[in-house]
Amino acid sequence: MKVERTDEELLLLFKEGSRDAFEELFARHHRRVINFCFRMTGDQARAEEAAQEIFLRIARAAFTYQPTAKFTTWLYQIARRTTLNFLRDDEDGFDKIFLPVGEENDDGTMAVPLPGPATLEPERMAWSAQVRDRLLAALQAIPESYRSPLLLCAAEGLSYEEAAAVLGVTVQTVKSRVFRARRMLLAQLKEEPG
Amino acid sequence: MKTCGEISEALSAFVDGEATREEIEAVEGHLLYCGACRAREREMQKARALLAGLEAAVPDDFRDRVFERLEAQDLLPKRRSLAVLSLRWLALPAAAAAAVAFFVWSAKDGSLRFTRLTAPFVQVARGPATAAPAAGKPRGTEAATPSVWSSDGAGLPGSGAGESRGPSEAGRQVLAQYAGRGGGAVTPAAGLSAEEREIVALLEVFENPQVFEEPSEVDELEIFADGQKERG
Repeated sequence: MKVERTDEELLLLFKEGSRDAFEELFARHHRRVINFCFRMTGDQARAEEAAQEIFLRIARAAFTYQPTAKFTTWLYQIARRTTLNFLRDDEDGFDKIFLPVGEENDDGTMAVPLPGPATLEPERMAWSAQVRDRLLAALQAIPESYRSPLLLCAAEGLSYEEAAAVLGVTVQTVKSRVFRARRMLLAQLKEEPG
Repeated sequence: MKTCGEISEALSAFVDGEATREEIEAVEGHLLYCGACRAREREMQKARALLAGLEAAVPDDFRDRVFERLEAQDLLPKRRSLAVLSLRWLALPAAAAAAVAFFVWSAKDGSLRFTRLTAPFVQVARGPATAAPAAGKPRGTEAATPSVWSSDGAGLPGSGAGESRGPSEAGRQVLAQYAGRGGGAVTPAAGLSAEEREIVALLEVFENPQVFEEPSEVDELEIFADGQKERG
């Protein structure tokens, strides 16, 4: 009976010269990597380019890998740093970012009322290219420091603790940034398309 | 009772399954009476599902492109070619297995008959006039002689197209000769043909199993080296 090796074991085998181990790691994670790059960059071509670069970096950096770190944590650290080079955000993009949805005025009233329940009904939205484009555009409007934790937790399925390890911040920071990123995203999605 | 603003961050963690026990209690209590926050929670869940469903296309040649770059930069160990798995290496255990099968198959009373058969072979083989090939030596190291395994004199055990091979006519004659003699000694002057010496060599495996267990001159692991030192 074939025993499935863990990612960490495979990487260690690769360090020792096993090509098959790297093939297996690639097979397991290439889809995850390219999806993360796509969500981060919003562009298919950039995503493919970034994903290729990530696997090159994994191969180069394998000899530095210590089995104390979870492989996916290490993988996402490399992926995030790599995609930063491919992002098309510019500093002026902050002007496009969210309205302070949900924040309270000093008198306790909401600065901008949270939208009601009828404004976002994804079930009624066909998963069309338009929806996809809107979602990608909304993500790109969020600063990377908020976009990364949101994607790692909500899209990639990492725990707050794992995301904190990837990002090199505390769990509370992840929690706070995910919350704020989520608000920005919902606000972007609820804006009427221009 | 907490306000919607106070509960909002906890609600976000709640949607991610990351809320603490206290936060869960606070959120669930708030959601019981706040429809707006219940709607907000649904929106967050749906947005989360949308994000998870946002996937890139993976081109068919993506793997090839990645591995091409990896190889161009010498970041991957070379793949060991299966072509080096030569018949010569396969013949060694195949010949031994065939020898075992043959002598078990041919002996009605394997143990006794085998003793009678082996003794004269070994006795003669160890004589000065003969030089039996060492057990385990791959076949083909001697000059071409009719094989005891195939009637057409060609091939190695197992090298045919899957057909069962028994002893050749020559081999049967040799065995019959010594079996008929009931284990009597063979005079050195009779000598042994190359074919007979081959049978003796195979029999020596049973006469002295340690012979087969001794390190072979062929290092099987070396065979897999393709001439280049592997990375790592």
